[in-house]
Amino acid sequence: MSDLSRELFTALNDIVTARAARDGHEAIATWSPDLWSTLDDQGYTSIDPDEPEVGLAEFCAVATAVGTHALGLPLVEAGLAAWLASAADLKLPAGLVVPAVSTGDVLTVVEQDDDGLVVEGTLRRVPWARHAELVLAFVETESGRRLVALEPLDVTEGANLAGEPRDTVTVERQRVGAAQVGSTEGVDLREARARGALLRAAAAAGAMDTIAELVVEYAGQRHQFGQPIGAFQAIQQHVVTVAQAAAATRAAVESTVAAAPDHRVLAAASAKVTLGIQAGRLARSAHQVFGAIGATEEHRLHLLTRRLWSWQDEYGTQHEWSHFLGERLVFPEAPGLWEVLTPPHPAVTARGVGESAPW
Amino acid sequence: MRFAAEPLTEDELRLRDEVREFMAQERANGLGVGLGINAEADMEFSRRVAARGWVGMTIPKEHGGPGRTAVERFVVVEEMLAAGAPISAHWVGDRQTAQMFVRFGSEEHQREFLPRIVAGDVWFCLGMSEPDSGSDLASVRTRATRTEGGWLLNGQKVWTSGAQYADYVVTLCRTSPAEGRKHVGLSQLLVDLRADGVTVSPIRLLNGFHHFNEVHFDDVFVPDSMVLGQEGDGWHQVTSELAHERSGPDRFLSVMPVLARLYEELRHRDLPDDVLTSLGRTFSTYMTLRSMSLSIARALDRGETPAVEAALVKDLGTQFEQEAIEQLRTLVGGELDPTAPGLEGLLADAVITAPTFTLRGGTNEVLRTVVWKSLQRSRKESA
Ligand SMILES: Cc1cc2nc3c(=O)[nH]c(=O)nc-3n(C[C@H](O)[C@H](O)[C@H](O)COP(=O)(O)OP(=O)(O)OC[C@H]3O[C@@H](n4cnc5c(N)ncnc54)[C@H](O)[C@@H]3O)c2cc1C
Repeated sequence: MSDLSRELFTALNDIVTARAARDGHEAIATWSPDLWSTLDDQGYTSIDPDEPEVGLAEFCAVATAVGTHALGLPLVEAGLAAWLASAADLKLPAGLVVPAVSTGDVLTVVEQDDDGLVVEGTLRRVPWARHAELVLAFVETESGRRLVALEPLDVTEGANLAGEPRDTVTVERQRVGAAQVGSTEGVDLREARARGALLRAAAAAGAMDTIAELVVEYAGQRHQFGQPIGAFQAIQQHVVTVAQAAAATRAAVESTVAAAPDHRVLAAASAKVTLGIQAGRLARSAHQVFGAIGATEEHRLHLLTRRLWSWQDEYGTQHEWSHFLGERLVFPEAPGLWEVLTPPHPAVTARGVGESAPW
Repeated sequence: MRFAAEPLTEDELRLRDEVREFMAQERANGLGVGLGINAEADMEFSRRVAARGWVGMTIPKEHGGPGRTAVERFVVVEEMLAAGAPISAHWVGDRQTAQMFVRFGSEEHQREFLPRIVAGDVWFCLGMSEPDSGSDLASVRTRATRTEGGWLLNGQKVWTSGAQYADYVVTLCRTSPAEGRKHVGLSQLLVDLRADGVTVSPIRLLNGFHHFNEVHFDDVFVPDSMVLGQEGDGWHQVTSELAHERSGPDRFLSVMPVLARLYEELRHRDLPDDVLTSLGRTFSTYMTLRSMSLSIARALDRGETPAVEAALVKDLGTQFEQEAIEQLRTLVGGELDPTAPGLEGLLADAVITAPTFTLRGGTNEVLRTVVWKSLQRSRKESA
């Protein structure tokens, strides 16, 4: 972890912890304009990817803090949008901008002229669209895919398993001015989704760490048969499963952050698959440790586990990213399995598993 | 628990390439493929590895070693395991005994044994388990009693891998009564396997393979000079090396040679989506486990003792190896013949010996207890 990412994490941690102490956990599970403006004032909504000291580690640190506290605000989305816009040379106004890249939906062009584009299509599962000033989406044009920024005019509300807004934005013959159309350089849709996937894994690692703390604590407090349930080996094993899943997910995230840009999409895919594998194991064991109380609305556990069940599918499911890894890493000219699993290797780099836009 | 990631440096990558080239040459010269540390020992191969400076790598220069890092050793070991190299002969000395000598050994031991380990001139095996002492290792009953100039050793060890060819068995035994505290009064003796009173007899693994043994000690004389480290300090010495023993790539790469062979066939084919997905999932776990294991090697180089992290990775890694075998069976499909050459025979061997993965070096259940205790400790500390 860099110094800046540690600072960001700690400061965000402090803000949210203080807020939770005041308002209870309810307040951080839903949209809170008041907390949002605090975070805005502290600069968390506008971390600038063009600053030299800001990189992947910093955005992951923020995502991890969001997960640690099950913070129901689109900080991660604002960060991803800032990076996409910067890579595509789009200037964004102040206010919430969210990326519409989770499902891979792409808009189409109805008309094209010097003033810009007229586009249409449907963008599904757009996070927090109902609160956003603009959404960023990819459009298929004659000269390739472009990123555009457009106002969400027709929003149908939806939610993920944790109740976080995942809306459908219907775009009907909407004009986007030339200034709202990004350059062709910049990121492609896969990279954008890989970034989203990595940030979800980073957030999940934070949520998992919190769950790991909760289960260790509870195993020491809850008594049955005259002793703490942590005295039973069956419970100890569940607790270790939780800690292990959290450790594996975090390791996969950190290794993606440390990976060379040439292989980062590969690493991000692997981190997302790891999240998919570990989230299920972890949630099963954690809920088992907590018994019935953990299955209630008033208990904090579901704020975390419901997010894990959602996040594991967002920006590409485990299945989708597994397929990507299989399809990219099995090829006739491959130097061998071990070689492709342990990049750097030029044959792997040539498979397009890296990033074109730095962060 | 953190597993900070730090990819291999340019120098480390160069070493990796050297090892890859070496293994390619060995393969071209007809070296067979085995499964991890179950592969049959090949002393000649071990000597060739030693000749390259890749045995006892972390032994410091002042002790006649190459003085390389834990990560450099990691690089060599993972390359060899992935290629299915027969590393068993030098394995124990390289991974554990050398560390013991460096940390606890007398000057004479360091002078005598360390250069020989580096040269591939001496092989060790581990005499810990006994018929009645498995997971509860501190309950060992093999005893050494004082005699003129040394000790008289009596007792029995089991599951002693490699005792049929090793020179010495590092024997955990009781040198003074427990008096209610079983971790006290244990010592490690270096017992010459050719000494009078030592009998080694094979125990066959479930595939008929002669991997481990029974070792009987019948009034074996062990001179004072062959006490490893401090008399009575055996428990501490054994447990302090666990981070070295448990974290390594051997805990998740045993079936890599099988998967790599299958890959050689698959990569020329047009594969259906479900096969690609299934392979991709396995690839991802390999990448994650490798990163965790590498981060433990880095921690060792920083002078830390990540024993709990190592236990956690070993549990995760060995469970994964068993799952990977199930996946391989699905991909290969059909009945398996253990006498078949190539992929099929290797896979059959993996199926049959898979139960050993989660037993050797401490069972997964026991490892989980180690992790649990540490989680509780750190909670109490933070409270
Ligand atoms: C291939 C192979 C090579 C080996 N090589 C060596 C060697 O070179 N030298 C050597 O000394 N030993 C060696 N061993 C022995 C190995 O270390 C032991 O098998 C291991 O420590 C377990 O002991 P055990 O087999 O007696 O099982 P036991 O301890 O009898 O365990 C049986 C079952 O009970 C469980 N159990 C035991 N205690 C507990 C507990 N407290 N909590 C929960 N569950 C528990 C175990 O997890 C296991 O599932 C080798 C083993 C194998 C399989």
